[in-house]
Amino acid sequence: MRLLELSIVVAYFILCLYIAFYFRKSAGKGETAYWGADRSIGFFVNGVALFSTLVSTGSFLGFLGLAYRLGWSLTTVAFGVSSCVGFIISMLLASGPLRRFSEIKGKFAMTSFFAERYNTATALAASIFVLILFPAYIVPELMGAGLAGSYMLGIDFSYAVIIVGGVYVLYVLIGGMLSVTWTELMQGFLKFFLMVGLSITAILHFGGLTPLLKQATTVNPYYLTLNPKVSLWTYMGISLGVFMFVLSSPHIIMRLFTTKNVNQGRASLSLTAGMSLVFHLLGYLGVAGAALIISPKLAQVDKTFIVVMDELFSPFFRGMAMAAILAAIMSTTGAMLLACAAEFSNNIYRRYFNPNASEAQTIRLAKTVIGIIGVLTTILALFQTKSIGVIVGLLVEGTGSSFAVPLLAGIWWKRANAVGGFLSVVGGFVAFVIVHFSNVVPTFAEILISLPVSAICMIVGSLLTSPPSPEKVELVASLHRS
Amino acid sequence: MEKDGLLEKNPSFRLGVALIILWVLGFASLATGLGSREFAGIPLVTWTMMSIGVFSVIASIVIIPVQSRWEHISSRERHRGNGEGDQL
Repeated sequence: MRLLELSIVVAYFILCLYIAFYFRKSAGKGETAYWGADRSIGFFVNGVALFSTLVSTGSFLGFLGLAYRLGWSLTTVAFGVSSCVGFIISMLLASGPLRRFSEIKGKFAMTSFFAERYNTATALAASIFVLILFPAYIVPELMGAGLAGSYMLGIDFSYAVIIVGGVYVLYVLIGGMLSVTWTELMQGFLKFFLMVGLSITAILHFGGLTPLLKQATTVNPYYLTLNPKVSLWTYMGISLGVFMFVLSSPHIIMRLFTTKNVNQGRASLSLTAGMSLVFHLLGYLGVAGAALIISPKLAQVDKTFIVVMDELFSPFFRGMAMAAILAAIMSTTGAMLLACAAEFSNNIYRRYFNPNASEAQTIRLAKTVIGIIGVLTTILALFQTKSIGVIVGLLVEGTGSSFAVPLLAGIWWKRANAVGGFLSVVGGFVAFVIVHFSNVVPTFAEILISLPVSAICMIVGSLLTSPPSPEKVELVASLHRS
Repeated sequence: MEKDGLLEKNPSFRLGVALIILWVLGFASLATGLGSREFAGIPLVTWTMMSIGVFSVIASIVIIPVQSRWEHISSRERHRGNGEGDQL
């Protein structure tokens, strides 16, 4: 048991819960406060929180492991550049119209946009997919907690999973979007500076960038170049998946609704894109390279970050780095848990079971959903054994396949109608599942087929049926007016 | 302003489409073999994509006031009921 590291982690947990209690009263004011943080978040806080939402265990442990095993060039393009460009495309093509939609209709979930723009069947299909994909995404995140806790703190894997599961569920329950946003601000800084800081420490430790890369490429000759073991399709598939996920994932879209105004939302996405680029390019370059030198035959590549920080950081910074790993887990899981609760309570319960539900009833139900999903995912994480990077990668692609096309078409194509929207959401998801399980393409290349299927469904479905009503056309026009 | 329902003169839309095309072309360089060639030990596709990333961040900062002004003028034109409305 490492006492100093453990104390820092405990202090971090207390801080997260303090933030939740601090915002408890504000979050209890109603739905705008609970789901949309009262639309009070400025660009800087939202930008760092968005970065924090993106950088999950996948980025901190899983994808860094892929950089170690398959090379930095792959992860730089696939995660660094693609997430950066995804955020910028979101900023250019989606953030303004969606922020306006939220204000016009008073809604806070991406599927509410599908309900208003297409129809309730499209929204229901999207909600069901969110409720399948997001809990599945939370499981590997909690596995990361177990892995880091057992290695770094000497705590049993199961205890680490249960403790982290308990804390993140609690602060989402108590403080809603406000506490999620402010804890994510703290978590975002932790993650950014610890990854980049560890990379710089590694570069200095090995006598500069050139000596570090020279030694790293001796161990893995494909560290900087294209790895021949990775097919071109996988390379493009991961990149497209990350791009589409960043652009259309409901838990990221929810953040766009919280900003003070459209321009603050846009500026926050520019900040996030810049942070993501530096984090993946510089952070991965030094850390994965150092891991190749320190531990050339690392069997469990998800431990890449942990191995390097264990070797190069002092106990104080090890504790901070441990808190950063937990931050990576909790920020994404918190945002996803909130998105699941919003989908169920607003788009399923209120629409199909109790249309007259009051705000208080809806939030109460949402909190029950948060509790149930939190417990279920924690139990599942105790028994899951697959690689974190692979699970997260596949879920990222599934999300992008289902939501990217209907989202963009809904904003920009007035001819897009309910049939096209429904077919696009369902077609993208079904195509992804079929392609994945039939093994017709390499892993991670599924989206190269499922995304075009989603687009074809949208175009064919819309053009072969009657145009949308004048109200829907007017809604699209109103999204582009200041 | 619109053709086939697409709000094509919007500056953000134009920049967004341009970035997507650049991003696709970056990958296309891999298919032609050009992207696999190396400079300073790193493939050209990686250099290209990193440049696109940096460019997109800078362009996004520049576009915020431009887009805001375009939306403002566009709305004003519409209120005046002046022809098609959404043109700069």
